[in-house]
Amino acid sequence: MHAVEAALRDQATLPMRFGPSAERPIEPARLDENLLMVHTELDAPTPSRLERILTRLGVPDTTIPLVTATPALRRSWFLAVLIAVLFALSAASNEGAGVDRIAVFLTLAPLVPLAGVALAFGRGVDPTHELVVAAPQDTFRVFLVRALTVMAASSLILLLASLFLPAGGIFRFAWLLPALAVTTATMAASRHLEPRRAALPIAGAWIALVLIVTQAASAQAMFGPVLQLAAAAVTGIAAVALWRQRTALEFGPGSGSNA
Amino acid sequence: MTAPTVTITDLRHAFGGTEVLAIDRLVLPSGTTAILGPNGSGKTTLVRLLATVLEIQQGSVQVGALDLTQTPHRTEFRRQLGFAMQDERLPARMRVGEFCNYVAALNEIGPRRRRLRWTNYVLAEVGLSDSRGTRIQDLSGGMRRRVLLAQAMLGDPQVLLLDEPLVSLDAAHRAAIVRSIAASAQHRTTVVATHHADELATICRHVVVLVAGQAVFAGSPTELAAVAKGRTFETATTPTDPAARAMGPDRFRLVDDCPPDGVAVEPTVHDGYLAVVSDSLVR
Repeated sequence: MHAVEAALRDQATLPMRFGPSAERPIEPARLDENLLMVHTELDAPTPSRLERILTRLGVPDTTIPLVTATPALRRSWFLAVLIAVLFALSAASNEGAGVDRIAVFLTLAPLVPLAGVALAFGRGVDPTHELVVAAPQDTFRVFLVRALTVMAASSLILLLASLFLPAGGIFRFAWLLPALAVTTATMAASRHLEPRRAALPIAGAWIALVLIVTQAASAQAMFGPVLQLAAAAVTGIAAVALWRQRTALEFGPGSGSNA
Repeated sequence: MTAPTVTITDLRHAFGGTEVLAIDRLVLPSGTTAILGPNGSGKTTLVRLLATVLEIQQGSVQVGALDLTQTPHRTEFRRQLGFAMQDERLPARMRVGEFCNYVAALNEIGPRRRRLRWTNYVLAEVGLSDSRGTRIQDLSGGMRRRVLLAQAMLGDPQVLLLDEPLVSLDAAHRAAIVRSIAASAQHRTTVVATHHADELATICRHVVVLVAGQAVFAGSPTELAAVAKGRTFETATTPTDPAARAMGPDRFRLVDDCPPDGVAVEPTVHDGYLAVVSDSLVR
């Protein structure tokens, strides 16, 4: 590096090295620009493991920094997710059979991606929120990228955890559609409510629904086909509602309440 | 490309039913404009409206040929915009270079190599080349302020909006930031909301004073200083005017009626600003 720099700086040596055409003095501004380029190439930080994975997965170049900058996607968040999952796994009851044994896990699992989405975007959770809104990238797209990133990361952990459940058969994955439903509903409510504010009543409604149905009937009834169909319907309706208000999200979640 | 002129017409903005900004007409020419005003005068609201962070509720803002009330125009304007907000809370765990790379991606600068070049360039401009690998949480308040300015200059924007860029900086760093703003002022429109009238006056072509959400003065720094002509005095007697400034152990400067031992002095931009604010509050 020092040799390159010295060669660029030492104009006197240029005629010797490159012939008489190099006798023309180099403008200092151009020299600085060239040095900056040399420094950029030599000092370029190595892409992180996550960046390399995303590149291999074909994620567009300008999207990768948006994914890696997701506030919720930090080591502390992953740790919190792991603790929550371990807690839910350990809460699997030794009594009863089938779905009854894993009801706690199935109830808590949808709340993990929900919490991630709530903390992924918005004024209160992202210090760069105003920079996001003032930038030419579509705010809705940034919101979507971050939400999908958090949902994918947390769902991966939960899917792995599901494999270690003591019972349940196909029911061990019965959290997946409810998780999609509660997260999409939270995002759809974000025109008027910040995701972190919308997530609380939705999480409350989910827990209340589980308690009411399991008390009145059984965990089997709660997480059965009726719930899966209902969750799929809620996801579909919420996704359509979210898509229809994509332009309204230009000023960020919760901006509808200020207008 | 010539830097655009910003034209504000009948701009009104309210929070929770309380009107905080009411500007009938204001033109911000190319070059640097300082927006001065006491706390709560609407400076930040105006800058946030210009930065398209807030939705325009009433009135219009025209930047060159772009009408900021229209969505496609806003998107196009954001491609020409550099913005540094007042709040210096930044993602604490991110490294300075990583943060600039992220903002560059938000600004659609690609590919990665080009973002890195811009990152190196803007960090050099604000004297933070050696801090590229430092986590933001390890920076002082003044350094964070410089990171904010650096990210605003990514991509060489036509319009630069800076909200209190000199806050929490010592004198040397304030001078450095003012130099950075001045160096690029020729080819862009820069709007700076600030309390530091005198420091920015040297590089501003235009000054606007906001009081209670209204633009009560718009003109050159010389014109602003002239408002306090014949009303600026230095005295040895401790004045009752809360806006009086201590200039030494027994010397005070004030913009008011002449005190008994007052000596008339040449007003500065800050004196002119005090005179304008005082006049508008009396009205």
